[in-house]
Amino acid sequence: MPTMNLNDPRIESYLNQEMSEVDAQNFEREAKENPEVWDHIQFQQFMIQGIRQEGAAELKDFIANRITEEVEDEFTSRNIWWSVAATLIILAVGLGVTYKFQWLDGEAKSVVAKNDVNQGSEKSALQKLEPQLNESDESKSKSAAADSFLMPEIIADNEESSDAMVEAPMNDDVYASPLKDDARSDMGRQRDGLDKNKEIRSVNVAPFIVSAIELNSNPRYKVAVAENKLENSKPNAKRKMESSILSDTIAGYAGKSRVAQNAEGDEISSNSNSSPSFKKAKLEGTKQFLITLSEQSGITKPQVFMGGQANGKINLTLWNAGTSDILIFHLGDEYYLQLGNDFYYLPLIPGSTANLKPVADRAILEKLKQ
Amino acid sequence: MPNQTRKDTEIVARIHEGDREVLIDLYKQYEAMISNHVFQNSGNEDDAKDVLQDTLVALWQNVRKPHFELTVQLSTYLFAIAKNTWLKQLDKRKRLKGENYITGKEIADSPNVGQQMDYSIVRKAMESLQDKCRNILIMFYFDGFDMKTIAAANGLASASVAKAKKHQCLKGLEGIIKQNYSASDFYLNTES
Repeated sequence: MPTMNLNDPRIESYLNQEMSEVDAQNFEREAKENPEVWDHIQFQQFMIQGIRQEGAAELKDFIANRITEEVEDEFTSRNIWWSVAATLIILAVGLGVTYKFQWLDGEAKSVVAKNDVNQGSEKSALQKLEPQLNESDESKSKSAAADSFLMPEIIADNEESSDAMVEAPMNDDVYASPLKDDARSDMGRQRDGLDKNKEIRSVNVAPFIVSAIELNSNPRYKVAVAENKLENSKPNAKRKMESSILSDTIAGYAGKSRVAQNAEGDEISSNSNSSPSFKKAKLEGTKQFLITLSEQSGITKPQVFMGGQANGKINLTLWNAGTSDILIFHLGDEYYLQLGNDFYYLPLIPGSTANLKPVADRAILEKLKQ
Repeated sequence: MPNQTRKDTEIVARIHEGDREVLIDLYKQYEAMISNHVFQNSGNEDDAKDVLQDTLVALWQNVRKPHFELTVQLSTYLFAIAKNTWLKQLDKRKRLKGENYITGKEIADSPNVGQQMDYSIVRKAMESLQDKCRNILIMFYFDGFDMKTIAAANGLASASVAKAKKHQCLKGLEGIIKQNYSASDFYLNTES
């Protein structure tokens, strides 16, 4: 008679390995007497072993996955650090390059500033020599002194072609932007006296050529306009001279990209490209001036230094002319300078520096204003 | 207590608590040692990984058995398991290649020779179980957790509820297997 059935609680203990070895052996012996119970126990053991294998496989997967994650994390982390390092290196190189360029730029500025200071010193030296020059009639030496104001390139350029205009780059560091003040051209402005001992803080060397406008009784005269602009006083701001010729009696130069016309509107010459050179429009026996604009810090009073004559042009340095248009008129033997709305006598004494004297003669003024 | 012993005790304690992360620490710690052994005994990188994983699984199962006691250093114990695992694997490969022949005594001692059980049937059947049932069965039969822990881990009210649930799940698994497989499917045909 079998004594064990499928509901025997010892089956559970046996399957869960909770029996002692001796008890387990006795249980097995008893269970085998009932094939149904023994089959049941064997099937249960089969399932439990399968569950254990599944558990082991799951744990193995867990280990494998976690290790893979760790390796990937480590790789990613290493990649991140490499990326960070690479970024830092790129930044460092970039900064280094930027710094280098800034340093070079600064060095270039220093050179420009030194040149300017040298020019200023030269100017001072020349100013000291003025009395001697004034006393001397040697025009060649005056001319040479005047030419020394110009940069070698400009001189060379001018020598090469009298039509060429060289625009020298300006620098924020050395250019103190007083030229931005358009109001300086007003008649009522207060001007300081000439102070030769003051340091020349900035020197703009942007010479351009202006032909004097011969005034006569013919009301059709007008104009050679030298538009004296400094665009937002940028370092590279260039002075433009635009000459519009509205009279066939007046000589001038057409500015770049501008069309010079005569009084009847006929085109005389044009230059549509962006070349800084100016084309000569017409020249009829009137004087031409190679004008260099300069600024002195702390001084607003316009001054003029009349240099010598070179290549048929009178070298003229205008100090503190502001941003106003520049016109030169020729009336009889006298030359007049218009800065914006202001009119000045233009002394043509070579090698001399003088404050510009406003035109007081009403008749002349009216004629000039026509 | 020596420092290494304290560390071993902590590791064993973590395994008892069911902290699987400790196996990852052990993997990293003993990877070089066990891999070198495998490499020096005709194994490759994949073999080394397999042996490492099997070793840690065996350690987990052994430590979680009732009355387990670590009598040697953990490193020694782990290395012994690894050596044994790799030896079995090599032996199995030689048999598959026909290089090793099973002796008559081995045949007599192994009741399942020629009739090895195909446990993959159970594993496939487990895929049809609910996740909770599957977890309960693995936690009980593989990890050896008590019913209280299983109840807590599976959101069951009490240990007795977990016990009843485990019984129910096992019955469910039995039903799936018997429904899909015949008795002849339970044995691997090793003769072919």
